Amino acid sequence: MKKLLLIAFILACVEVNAQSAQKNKSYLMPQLGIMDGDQSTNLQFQVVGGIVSKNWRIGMGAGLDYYSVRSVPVFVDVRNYFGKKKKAFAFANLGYNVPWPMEDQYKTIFLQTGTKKSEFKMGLYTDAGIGYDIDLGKQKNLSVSIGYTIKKFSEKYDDRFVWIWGWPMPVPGGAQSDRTEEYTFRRLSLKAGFRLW
Amino acid sequence: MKTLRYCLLALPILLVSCMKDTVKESYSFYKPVYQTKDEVKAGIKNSPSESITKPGKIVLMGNYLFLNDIDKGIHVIDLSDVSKPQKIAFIHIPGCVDIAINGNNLYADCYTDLVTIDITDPGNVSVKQFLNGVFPHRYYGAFSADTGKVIQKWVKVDTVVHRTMSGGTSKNFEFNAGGLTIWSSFRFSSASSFAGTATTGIAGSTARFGLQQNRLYTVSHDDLQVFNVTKADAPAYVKKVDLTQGGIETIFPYKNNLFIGGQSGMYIYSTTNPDDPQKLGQFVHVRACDPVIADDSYAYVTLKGGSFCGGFSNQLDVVNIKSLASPQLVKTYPLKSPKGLSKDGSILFICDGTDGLKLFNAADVSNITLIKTIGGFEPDDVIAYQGYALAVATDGIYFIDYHDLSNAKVISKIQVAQN
Repeated sequence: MKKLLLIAFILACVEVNAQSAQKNKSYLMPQLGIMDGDQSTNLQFQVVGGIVSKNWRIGMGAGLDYYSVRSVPVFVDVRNYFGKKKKAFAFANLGYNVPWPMEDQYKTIFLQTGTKKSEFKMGLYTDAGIGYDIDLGKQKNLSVSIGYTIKKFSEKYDDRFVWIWGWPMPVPGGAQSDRTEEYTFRRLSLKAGFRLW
Repeated sequence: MKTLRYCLLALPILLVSCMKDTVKESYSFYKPVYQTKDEVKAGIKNSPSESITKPGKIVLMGNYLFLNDIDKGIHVIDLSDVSKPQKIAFIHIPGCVDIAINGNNLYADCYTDLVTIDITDPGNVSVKQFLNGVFPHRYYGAFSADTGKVIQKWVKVDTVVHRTMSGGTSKNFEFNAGGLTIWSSFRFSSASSFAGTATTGIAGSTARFGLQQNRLYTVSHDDLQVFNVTKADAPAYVKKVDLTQGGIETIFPYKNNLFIGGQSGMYIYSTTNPDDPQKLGQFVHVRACDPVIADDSYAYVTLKGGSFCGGFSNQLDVVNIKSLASPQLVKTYPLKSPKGLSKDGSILFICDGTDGLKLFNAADVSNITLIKTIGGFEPDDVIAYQGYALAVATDGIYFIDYHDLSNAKVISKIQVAQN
């Protein structure tokens, strides 16, 4: 729930920012894309927005990242447009990756007292690459980009071993053994964004 | 500037080669420290009292409570003054998870072996006998590569491993441990309710060792073993009875019968011929963890469902055993998450999960009523004896005075060392 509120807050900020600024001095762009990594190809959805200053666009973004474990990247978005027509751009995103696992993405441990789910902690989120804006007229753009994105987070879970029929485990008697896994996912990211303004 | 742009354009292509997902694992694994059997035997002796780390089965004998510390040994606790229990000694027995006491002799498992220890002076014990390899189910596969050795202790080693996501998960052990399962975290409950007479220790509802008619009966998940302890300091192996029902958890000897608790039911075996137990009857229930105790007419079975135990039942079943061949359910009472139980006269004690220890009036089995709940701890098992209840919980050993039932209360506690 906190994560949802965080997303809503960021989007609201973007919205307010967009409304209060002159339209040609701000940008707002939802993006849909795919990420291809070592394990799978997954969808991503983002909304970025911020201010425009000369060749630069600086703002914030948030989205949904379905690679491996669902998460919500929240990041600073920086874009630099170059070329004669200022249609090509390089971009960089840097921020946090907040895990928002689906039910089947937790490791569930069976304890005598019930089940216990793994705990996730947020980590780094980065995305950097290049793109090109295709003019659709009426100040609307289709912005396509390709980038290299990394998301990190950690998962902590109780990793006890037991003897199947309830005989105590051979390691010291069923002692809790926390295992922490810090994941780093590296993906190729393809995005298409529709610049609302 | 052009160079920069070309570099940027080439960037995604270059990065394709850096697409490996990786994970950094931080965990501890346990490395076994081996001893020869001779070294183990020599090491089974008293030492000064130690902190309790993982409380297991309990047996009450006279003024002493013998508390198993899982896989480490046995704490000897002096209960001369129950309000001030004193740990007086610790007996190192590696691989020990079950105990029984017959007069001055304590029987304990030492991994696959049965060890007999003279406890005439609990402060100065001595090993009388080793029966080797009688508990093969305690053989830890790859861990005992050298059968001439046993694991004396485990050393915790903290480690960090970097691997790719396709590299599999590291194990908590030094070896790939055949025979182990990793799907559950389960600390088997501790012991007890009244299973003995004056000459045998009081053990109980979740014990796997039981004494009766100069025989030691032990259950594993699928067999019942008989040892003749007529010569108390030198048990002799008699036979093994297959318990094809499987999922066996507890044994409760009562008169000339054995009440065996399994995950699918309660099984009654006659020991009219103590060397050759014969099945008399059974009471089948849904899959659940199932300690059982009995008196002359009724058996009391707690069913705990969920998680490792399977099923969803959390209840007390009272079973009429006047006809041992065909036990009949009398009544079921809902409970929260019951584990061990004990009975003193008409007072029934049930460890009921986070609710704590519940005291019931069981004078009328058709109308068992709650007298009092003693909360604040989560007991696994209990021995109730002469106005005092000894309850084992993960965080401590609780001593409860119930001379005045309506004012039963915890009068002392021995703390369990926290990790």
